[in-house]
Amino acid sequence: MVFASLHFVYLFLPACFLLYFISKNIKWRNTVLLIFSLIFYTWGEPSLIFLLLFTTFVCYICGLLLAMYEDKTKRKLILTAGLVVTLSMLGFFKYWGFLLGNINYIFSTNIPIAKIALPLGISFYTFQALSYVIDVYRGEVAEQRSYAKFLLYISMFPQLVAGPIVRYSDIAEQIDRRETTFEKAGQGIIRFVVGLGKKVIIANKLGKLTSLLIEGDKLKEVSVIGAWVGIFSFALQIYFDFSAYSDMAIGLGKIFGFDFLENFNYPYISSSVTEFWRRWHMSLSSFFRDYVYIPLGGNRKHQILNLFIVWFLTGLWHGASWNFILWGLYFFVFLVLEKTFLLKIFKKVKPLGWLFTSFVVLCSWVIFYFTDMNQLIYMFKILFGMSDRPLNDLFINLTINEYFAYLVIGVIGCIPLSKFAKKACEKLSDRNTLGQGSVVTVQAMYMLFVLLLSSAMLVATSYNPFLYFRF
Amino acid sequence: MKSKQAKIIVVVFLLAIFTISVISFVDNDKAISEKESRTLAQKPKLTLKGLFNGSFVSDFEEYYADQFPFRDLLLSLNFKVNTLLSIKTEDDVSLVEGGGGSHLDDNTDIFNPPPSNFPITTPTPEITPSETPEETPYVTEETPEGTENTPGVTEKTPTKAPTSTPVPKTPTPTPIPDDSSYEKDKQFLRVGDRILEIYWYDKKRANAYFDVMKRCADSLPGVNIYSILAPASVEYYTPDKYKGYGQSQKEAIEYVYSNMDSRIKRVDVYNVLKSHVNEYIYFRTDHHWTQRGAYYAYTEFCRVAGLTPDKLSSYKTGRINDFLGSYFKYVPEDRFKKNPDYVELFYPNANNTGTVYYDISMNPANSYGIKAVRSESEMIGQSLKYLAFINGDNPLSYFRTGVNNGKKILVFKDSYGNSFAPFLFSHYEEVYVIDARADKYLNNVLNFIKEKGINDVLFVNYINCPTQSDAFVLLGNML
Repeated sequence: MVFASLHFVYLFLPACFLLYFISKNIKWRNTVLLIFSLIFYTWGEPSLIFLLLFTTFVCYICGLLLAMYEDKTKRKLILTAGLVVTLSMLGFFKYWGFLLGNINYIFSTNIPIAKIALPLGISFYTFQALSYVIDVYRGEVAEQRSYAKFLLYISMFPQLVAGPIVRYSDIAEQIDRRETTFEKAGQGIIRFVVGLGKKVIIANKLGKLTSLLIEGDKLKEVSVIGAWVGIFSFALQIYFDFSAYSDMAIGLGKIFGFDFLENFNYPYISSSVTEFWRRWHMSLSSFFRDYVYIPLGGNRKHQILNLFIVWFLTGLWHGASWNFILWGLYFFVFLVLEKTFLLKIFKKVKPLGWLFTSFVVLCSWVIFYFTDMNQLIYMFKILFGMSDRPLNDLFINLTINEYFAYLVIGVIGCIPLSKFAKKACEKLSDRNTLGQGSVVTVQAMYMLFVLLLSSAMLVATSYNPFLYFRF
Repeated sequence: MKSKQAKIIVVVFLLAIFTISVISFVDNDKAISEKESRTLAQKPKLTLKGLFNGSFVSDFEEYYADQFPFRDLLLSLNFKVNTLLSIKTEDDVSLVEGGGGSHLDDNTDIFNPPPSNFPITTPTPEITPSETPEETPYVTEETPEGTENTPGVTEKTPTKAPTSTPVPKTPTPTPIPDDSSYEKDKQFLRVGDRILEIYWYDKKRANAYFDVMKRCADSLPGVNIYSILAPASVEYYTPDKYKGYGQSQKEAIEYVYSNMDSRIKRVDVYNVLKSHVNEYIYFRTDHHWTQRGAYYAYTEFCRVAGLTPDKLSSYKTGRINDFLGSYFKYVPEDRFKKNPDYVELFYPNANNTGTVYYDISMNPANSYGIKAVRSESEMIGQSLKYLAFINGDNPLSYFRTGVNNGKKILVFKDSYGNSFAPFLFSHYEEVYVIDARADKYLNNVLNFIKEKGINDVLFVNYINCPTQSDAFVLLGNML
């Protein structure tokens, strides 16, 4: 199931809220949440839940075993076994085709590659499960004795499908002890609805523009300006899409009483690539920092090699294709450059840093978007004037008219204005009841407006006129 | 956020989603969407099998969206917002993407259903619905290719699998191919209050047309075979500035005519239509020509066939107001509601009645009566006003005109032929009209033509038909 759908907002959520809040008993609430999460996961793809159950069971058992044994070698063995089994599951279901494809290419073999269905959320829940096992091994958190509770942690529908990657240690206590209050619910609702709007109104719309300009065969016809607009549109699309999912996850979590960590912090205002990765998909970069970079030695031993490994893996995590690895290593190069001398320059001239970073990131999305190497190279050629495509054409001139407003809204949405809005709201609310009243009226109307427009646009995706037409 | 404020937000939100939720349970399911001219998904049956293979869930999602409360209002809101946020050009032109456009699903038979006692013995051909883009979570964990799992990659519209549709050399019925081999999605140019469909074509598609023509010429040596290929409105009404986008229908028509069997008599209507371009010869919101446009084509047919065309003023006329046609569904803007098309009617100078048959033996048990041209009052409640002409597309329509000259004509057509056919009534005693896609119902049509002693065979199509669709593959099956 997906958040941005009519049946989720108007069927699943009301039912879930009704049953969750009907009792204050934490056991009841956890059960409701677990059941709804499993329904959410199996919706449309029931068979793959077994992998989820298996992976979580393996890690759960590891946790118990680690608690049982004190002997260092035994514990190392348990940890290794857990890591190997879990990562093999991920490796097989996600990377098998990629691996075979490369073997075929290198050895000129023709091993048939079976199509393996990719389980929903596997990249996310695998990392969450791993973080648990490692944290228990390190003694940073006590093992979870209840499989149901552990499963709840992994499969909780707010964050299962698209993150944030929630560390067990961050929410272990909240499983048994969390508060649901009107304040939290109110904040959570607004966060969720705003996320819904970001996804449906902006990300989906810009997604159409991107696909019209540079997807598939369109690449063969796009003008230079069209290509730049296309990748710019994608840069906004991917940010709004991904951060919207985090918004909705955090918002829903809040409603249920959970506090998840932020995952995005206005990454496009960054004035260095280093800063960008402290603002983009923060739960992933901190995962790699804590579980790969630091164990490898961090900045103490062979730092460059460590960075290389981390960024290779970061790229690989995003997809089973060479362009994603290239994307990760692309950032590796710039991060090293910054560490060596660029950062000092950017500190002195921040706008320069912002320009540089924006350009580097924009180009990185080209590498990210095209899984086909030929298309990737061709796109760069078009962008930098090394192709036969015209600079401008009728298609981009006409098409942009429908989407320009959304690009503008998207750009504005990248600027951290919400801090000011929040402060202004608080000030006004603190003044008097009239201030309070006007703030909440505006908030409620804004929320309803976004909900209404998102619903309208979701309905429109099912608009499918039958054209009595073709003949 | 203060407690009181939070309470209000919570209550407002819950009211909103619970109200809609309850309404969606309580209200009645609608059967059809007038706006979209299609049946709306109905409640799917819950089966264990369906639950496990995911089909129940996807059917349910479709059902829920199709039956969502206030659906039409929400669709209007969506289109209004789009229009509001679009930048207007000085010359009032905009480009509208049609997306995947029409899709035939298994439930849609483009023909009116035959009388209920008619057993369809020919197997229902496989109609593959075109893929519609899916809304998937940010991490596309479910791509069947198995290689692309990327958070942050919104599911791209699946590129349609290329299929190669073989042109049959022998008349073996082929299933209706899906149009996915025709790659381009529909695009529309809105010029003021007129919608034009941008034309792209595939030369290979025309091979089926050539094949049909040759077979007809080979099998019907004593019969005059005529071909009309009409342009659509895009050819005449695209402003010069935008002519570079899309392909020329004039060229396409010339290509087809120069490669078609030389025994076929060309009726090139391009110039005669051009000379009347300032008259109401094409609808602004529909892909058809008007009956007036069909009339001018008819005059050209008469010139080639050696007939004297009736004067336009000789026909009894009528008018159906408030017509919003096929193009409107793609560009559903208020401006067209305020300035819709109307349908000019020209009644035949002969009998206005006919019969629709569902098999080549013309079994009266599977037939019903129709009018060649229906009036405004007869079209009340039917929004597809163009269906006023010969009751729309039917497998075989037969008209006894009352003109006793013993001459018979058979028209193969797409819907452009519907408004054209009535003009033929003054010149023939019997007019047969066969829709190009009727291979599900008809066969051995060449024999039929010989047995009935038909004198003339006329193909009436707009150029899009043979160059964008596989209609002539289907027609080939019928011969």
